[in-house]
Amino acid sequence: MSIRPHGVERIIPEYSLTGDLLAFLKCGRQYRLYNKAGLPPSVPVQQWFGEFIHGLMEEAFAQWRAGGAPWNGGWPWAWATHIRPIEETVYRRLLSHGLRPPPRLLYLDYDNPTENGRGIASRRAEAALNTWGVHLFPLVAEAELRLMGSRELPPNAQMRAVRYSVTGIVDVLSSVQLHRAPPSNAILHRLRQSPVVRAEMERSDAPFEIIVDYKGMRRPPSLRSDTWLHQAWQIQTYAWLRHRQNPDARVIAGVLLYLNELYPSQTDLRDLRSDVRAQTTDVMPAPADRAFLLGERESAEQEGEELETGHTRGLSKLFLEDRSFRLVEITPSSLDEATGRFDRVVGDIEVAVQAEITQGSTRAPWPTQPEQRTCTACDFKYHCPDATGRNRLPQVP
Amino acid sequence: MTTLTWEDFCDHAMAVARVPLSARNVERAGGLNDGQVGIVSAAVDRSLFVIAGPGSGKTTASALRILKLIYVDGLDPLEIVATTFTRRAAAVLRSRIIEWGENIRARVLRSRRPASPRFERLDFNQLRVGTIDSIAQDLLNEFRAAGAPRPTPVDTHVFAALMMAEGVRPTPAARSRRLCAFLESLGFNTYGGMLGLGGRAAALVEIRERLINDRVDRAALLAGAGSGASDVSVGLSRALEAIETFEAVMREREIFDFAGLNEYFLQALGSGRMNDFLATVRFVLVDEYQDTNYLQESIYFALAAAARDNGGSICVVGDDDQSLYRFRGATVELFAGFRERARDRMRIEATEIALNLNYRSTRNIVNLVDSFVRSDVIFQQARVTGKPALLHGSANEGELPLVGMFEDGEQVLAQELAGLIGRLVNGGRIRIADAEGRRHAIALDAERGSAGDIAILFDSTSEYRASGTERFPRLLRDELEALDPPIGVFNPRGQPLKRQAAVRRLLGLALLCLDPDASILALQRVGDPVLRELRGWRDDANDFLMSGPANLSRFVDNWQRRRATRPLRGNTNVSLSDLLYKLVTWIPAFQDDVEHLAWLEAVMRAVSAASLLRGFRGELIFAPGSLTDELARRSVADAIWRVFAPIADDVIEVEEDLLETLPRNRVNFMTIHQAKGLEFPVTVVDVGSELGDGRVSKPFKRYPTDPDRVHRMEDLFRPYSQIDLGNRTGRDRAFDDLTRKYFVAFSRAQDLLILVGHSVATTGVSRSRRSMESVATGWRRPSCAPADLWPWRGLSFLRRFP
Repeated sequence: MSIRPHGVERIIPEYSLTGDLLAFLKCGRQYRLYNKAGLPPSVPVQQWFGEFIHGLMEEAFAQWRAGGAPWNGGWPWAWATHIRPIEETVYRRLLSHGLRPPPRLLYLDYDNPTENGRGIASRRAEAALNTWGVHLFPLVAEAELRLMGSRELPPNAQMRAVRYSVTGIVDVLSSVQLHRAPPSNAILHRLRQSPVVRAEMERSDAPFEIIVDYKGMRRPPSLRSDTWLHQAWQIQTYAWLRHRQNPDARVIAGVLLYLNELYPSQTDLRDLRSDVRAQTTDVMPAPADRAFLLGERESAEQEGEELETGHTRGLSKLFLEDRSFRLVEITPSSLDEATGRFDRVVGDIEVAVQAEITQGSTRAPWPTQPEQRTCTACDFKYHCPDATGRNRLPQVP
Repeated sequence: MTTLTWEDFCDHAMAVARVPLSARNVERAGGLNDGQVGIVSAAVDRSLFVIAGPGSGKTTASALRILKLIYVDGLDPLEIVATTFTRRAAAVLRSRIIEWGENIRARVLRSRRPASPRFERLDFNQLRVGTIDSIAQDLLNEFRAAGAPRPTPVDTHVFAALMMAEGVRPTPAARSRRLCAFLESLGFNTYGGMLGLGGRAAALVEIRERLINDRVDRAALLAGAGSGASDVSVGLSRALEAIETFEAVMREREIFDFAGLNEYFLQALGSGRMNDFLATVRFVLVDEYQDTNYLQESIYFALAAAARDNGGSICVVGDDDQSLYRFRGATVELFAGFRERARDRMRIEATEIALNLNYRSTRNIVNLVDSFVRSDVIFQQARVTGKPALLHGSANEGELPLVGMFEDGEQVLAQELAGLIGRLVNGGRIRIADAEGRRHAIALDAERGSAGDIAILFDSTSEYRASGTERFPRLLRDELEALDPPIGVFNPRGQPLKRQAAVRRLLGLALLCLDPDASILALQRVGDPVLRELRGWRDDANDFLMSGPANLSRFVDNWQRRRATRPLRGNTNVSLSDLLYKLVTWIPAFQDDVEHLAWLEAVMRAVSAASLLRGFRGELIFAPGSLTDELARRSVADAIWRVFAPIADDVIEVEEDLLETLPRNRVNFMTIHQAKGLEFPVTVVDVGSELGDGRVSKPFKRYPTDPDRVHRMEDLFRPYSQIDLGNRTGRDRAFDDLTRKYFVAFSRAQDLLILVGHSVATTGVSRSRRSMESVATGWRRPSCAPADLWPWRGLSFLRRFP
C-alpha cells in the first residue's frame, strides 16, 4: 500500500505592508534574514528611528488628547518640558523590546540628556511635533488604527493557501475634524492644493477620510525610484484595507510625512543634492534654496554621516516642509493597480517560501536587489555574492 | 434579510466546506456527526463543554460554529473571541473561518439580488483569533492609556538570561546554600548545591511562573511554608526575595514575560478601562482548554461573564487525555471540572458534547490509542467522567498493521530503523505480515512522497547526554546520513547551542578577538563549568584558525591588536552583533542552512537580551591600539557575562516554533510536545530506546517512583491559591501525565505507526534483572491490578525486516 503524502494544512499567511512587503521589495534575501529569521541589524539606525518616531507620535497624541498640563499650554512644545519626557518613555519602551539606538542617534549621553547633547533623532522628533503635530493632532479621528484584510493570491498550484492576509497601522483623519479645522491648518491647506482632493472634500453629502503614515526617512526621488512607487502602493493598499474594514469610510487621499526632511542628516543632504542635480525629485528648490544647496562644498562621504546634522540654515522652512509632505491621491483605478501589484509581491514571497521548504536552502530561493545604500547598511553583504559597493571583506572594528 | 436561515447556511457550508450539516444533506458521505452538528447548531446563548478526541474534527466544527453565529445569529465578527494554544493552531482556525466565510459570502452575494448590505460588509478579519497571549497583547495596546506600557513579552530563555543577570547575580539571597536546599526539595537537580547561576535562574523563572499562573498569595506562602527555620523554609524565602528583586527591575523597565502579560491583562479586564471591549463580547471559544492554567481560567471566566451578560456564551474545547503542559502551569483538572466550576463561579450551565470519532488514523491505530488510554484503572479516575471510547470514524480505511521494532541495543536499533526509512524514502517497499498472516507491502507515494512524510517522536530530541555520550537520536542521525544516498535530518534542538560546532567556532572566534590572552575571562567568576566551556570554544576557534583562510587570521589579528582597518574617530562603540555577523563570513553553513540559521537566531537573541540589561547592553568599546583601556575591558567582561555565559550555561535555546520552514526533504525529529496538534503519515515513536542499558536514571520519564518537580510545586503552592482542586497524589499525577504524553504521541499517526525501543521493552526486565517497566510500553502503575502486556498483542515485529 502507498502511504498518502503529508497533506499541507491550508494556512493563510499574514503579511505586514511595511515589515514584509516593502522589506521584500527592498531585498528578498535581506528580508529572509532580518524579517523572517528575526536577526537584528547590528546598527539599526533606520529600524530604531522608524519605531521611535511612530511610538513618539502615538504617545504624544495620547498625552495631548488626555489633556492637562503641560499639554494645554499650546504650541510649540518645549523640548525640556514637553518632548523630552515622551522621548524618554519611548526610548525605554523600545529598550524593553530589545531595540537600542546606535550611539549618538538620540542623545550623546543617554544617562544624562541635555539640550546641547541631543542627537539627530531628538531634533527630528521636536521638528515633527512642532511642524506637523500641531496641525495633525486636532484632525485625528483614530490613532494607530490596525488594519487587516485578506485577498486572493495569484493562482499557483504549489502554494499553501489561496488567500493571504495583509496588515498595516495608520492614523485616520476624518471629514468631521477637517471641516472644523481653521483654514490656517497646514495639513488642510496642503490637502486643498490638490484639485482632485479638494473636489472630493467639497462633496458635502459624503463623509471622507484621509490616512496618514509617518516615514522615518528622506523623501525618495520621484523618478527612477522603486521606493517612491512602492510607498504609493502602500498608501493605496491602506485605503483598500480601511474601506474593507469600514465600508462607509471613503478614503480620498493618503499623506506620507518624511520626517528626515525636517531635519536632514549630512547623508540626506548629499542625496538631495544628487536628486536636484539629476532632476529626479518632484519637490525642487526655489532659486535661493537651490543656490544654497548646490553652493555647499561637497566633501568625501564618511561613515556615520547619517547621524550628523546637515547644514540647512540657508534652506527655507517652506522648502523643508514641502519636501516632508507627500500627498497620494486615491482613485478606484490607482487602488486596483496597487493592490494587484502587492498581490504579485506576495505571490513571489510565497514561491520563495515554498522553494525553501522543498530545497532546504535559505539562500537560493530569495531574490536579491543590489542597491548601493541597501547593501552598505546590510550585515550580510560580506557573503552575499550580489552585494554592491566596496569593502567586500569585513573591516575592523 | 440580514441573516441566513439555518437550512440555507447548511447548504452553503456543504458547498464550501463539503460537510453536510442538516437533515436534508447530513446523510451524505463525509458528513458531520451528531456531536459536530450539535456544536455548530447550538444557540448563541448555549455554552458548551466539548470533549474532542484526537483527529475528531474539532477545528472544522469550531470554524463552522463561528460562521453560523455570524451568518445565522447575526453576530458581528468583532463580538467573537477565539483562543488556541499555539500560533499555528490559531492560524489554522483563522484561515479556515476566513476561507469558508468569504466563500459563503460570495455565494450569498451571487444568489441574492439585491444583496443585504450586511453581507457586503462582513469582514472576517475583525475576528479576534489568536493565542491568549497575542489577544491580550493586542487588546492591551488597543485600550492603552497614555503613558501605560506596551507589553511585548520576551521568551522564557531570554527571561532566564535576564533573571541570571538581574535576579541571581546581584542578589546574595540567590547565591545561598539554603536556596539550593529548597530547589533540591522541589526536585531540581542542584548537583549537590553546586548548581550554576544559569541553572538557578532557570529554576527561579519556573517557580515565578508557577506562582503567577496559580495566582499564589505570596504573603501567605511566606507566612506559612516560608516561616520555619529549616533550610527549605529559609530557602523558599530566599527564592521569593530574589524573584521580587528581579520583578522590581522588570517593572521599572516595562519588560514582560508571558505569565506577567496575562497577569497584567487580567488586572486590566477588572480595572474598568476595557469595559468598551467587554461590552462587545458575545462569544468566547477556548480551544485546547485542557492546557489552561488557573490565571488563564480567570481571564476566560471574565470574558465568559461578559458574554453571558451580553446574551452570548462560552464554548470550551479540549481533551483531558491530551494535556501535556503541566510543567508550564497547565492544570488539566480545570478542564475535567469545567462544568462545575462554570456553574459555581459564573452561573453558567454548559452542555457537554463528546467528539469521539477519529477521522485521522486507521482502525488499527485508533484501537491501539483507545486501549492504551483505557488500560490503567487508576488513570480512569482522572479522566472526564463518562467519557466515551475513541472510535474509528471510517475516513481512513488503511489496513496496515501496527509495527514494532525492538532490538538489543541502541546502535543496532538505529541501523535497522535507518535502513527501513532509507528504503521507504528512496522509493523502495517494505513487506510485513500482520497478526492474521496477511502480507502488506508499504511504500511512500511514488510522485509526492518524501522524507517529510516521516516524523520520529522522542521524549527528548537531545542527541547527547550530559556526560557527552551519544543518545539514540544522534545514532539514528548518523545512520541516516551514512545511507547512500544520505537522508537529511531536521533537528535544530538536538544539541544545546554550545555543542554545535559552528556556534562554538563563531563564539570562539569572537572571544579570541575580544580577549586575546583570555585575561579578562580569567577574572570572571562565572563558575568552572562555564569557564571550561568558554575555553573549549577558544580552542576550537584556534584549531579553525590554523586551517582557515589567511584573511580570517588577519581579521582576528587586527582585532586582537585593536588595529582599525577603517577610519575612526577616537574610541568607538561597536555592537557585538556586528562582530558576529562579520565572522559569519567565514562559516558558510550559517549562510545557507536552515538549521544553522535557527542557531544563529538563538545566538543573536542572547545579544538582544543583553540590550535589555543595564551596563554596556551588548556594545563593545574599541580603543584603538590599546588592550588595557579599562572601559573597553569592562565592555568585554560585560559581554562575557551577558551573552557568552548564558549560552555556555544552556540558558538560551533554539526557538521551538520553526514549523513554517520544516524542510520536506528531511526526516523530522520532534519531541512529543512539538508534535502536539500535528499529524504525519508515518509516525515513529521511541517508546524505550534507552531501557536496555540501565541508563534510564529518571524514573519520572518512564515509571515514576515519586512525584516530579512540577507536582511537588503544585503541592507546595496550591494551599496558598484559590484554585481549589482535588487531592490526587503527586505520584498518581506523574503517572497520569506520562499516559497522556504517549497517548498524544501514538495518536499523531495517520497510516503507519511504528513503535521502536530496546527489546527489554517487551519484557519489562533488563538482563541484569532490573525492573524496566515503562508507561510508554503499556505497563500499569503498581496500584493497578496485574495485567498482561497488552499493547504488544497485534504488533507486527519488524525486527530484521527482509
